[in-house]
Amino acid sequence: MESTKYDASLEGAASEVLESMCFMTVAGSLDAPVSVEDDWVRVKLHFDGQHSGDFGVCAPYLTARTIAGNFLADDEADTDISRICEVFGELTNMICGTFLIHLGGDIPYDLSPPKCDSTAVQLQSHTASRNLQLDDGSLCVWLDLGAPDE
Amino acid sequence: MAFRVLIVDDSPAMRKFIRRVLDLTGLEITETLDAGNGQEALDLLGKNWVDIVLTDINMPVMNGEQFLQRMAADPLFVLIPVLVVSTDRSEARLARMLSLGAKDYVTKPFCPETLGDAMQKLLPGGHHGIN
Repeated sequence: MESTKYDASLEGAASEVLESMCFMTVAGSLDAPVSVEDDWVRVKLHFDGQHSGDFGVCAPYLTARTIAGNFLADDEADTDISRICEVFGELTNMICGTFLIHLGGDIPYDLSPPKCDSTAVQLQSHTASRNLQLDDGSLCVWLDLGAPDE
Repeated sequence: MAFRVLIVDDSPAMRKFIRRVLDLTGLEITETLDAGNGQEALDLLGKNWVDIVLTDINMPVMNGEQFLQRMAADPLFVLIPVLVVSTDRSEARLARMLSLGAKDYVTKPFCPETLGDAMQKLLPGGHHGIN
């Protein structure tokens, strides 16, 4: 399956961003779950360049709140959903940018503004997806190559 | 020596993150101002002197390239070192920003040491940067 060639890059990009921007360690990654639950925070963006497609990050609400709290150095209890979505947008942008560098070297890409996405996600329907294991839960990253422009 | 910093980024979360990182750099910073785009930054610079500007590229109203062009055209603002802090890692973008007057470029994600080292080279008393 084609997805395996992207797995290491997805994990590497997400690890680099989480470790440097959220001071969180990624213990490893597993195959992503088949689908995500309704209360997960989901953010995606579209990219165009040598490759085009969609890229997304999602996590259970409580994990997402912890990640956002680490990024902002805020008390998690003060981190509301709009703040969480904003932080996840930044993280999605950085993870995608880092992944694309791993993928294609020094090729300019245009990334759309990340959007919090409430539509259901079937992770195994994507070109590639990984489920990263954190100290406090897990975070999924996914990639769809060749998706049409929105 | 104490410094004043202006952060220009359309994301309040990223501005807050950079403020947090500045605290970890070990630099003595007396005041940190922030703006959501280039125009807001120019408005602030018209009323406040800062020692260094950290700017993103992709922003609404006035983006980082337009902001650098406006700074370069002003005899006072051109003296202030600008450090670009962006997700865009392409050589073409880096060259473009440096040609417009940016002194250096830090890509996101970054660790506090990376930002601190880049700033230290550009601040008064530091080792001077690329341009």
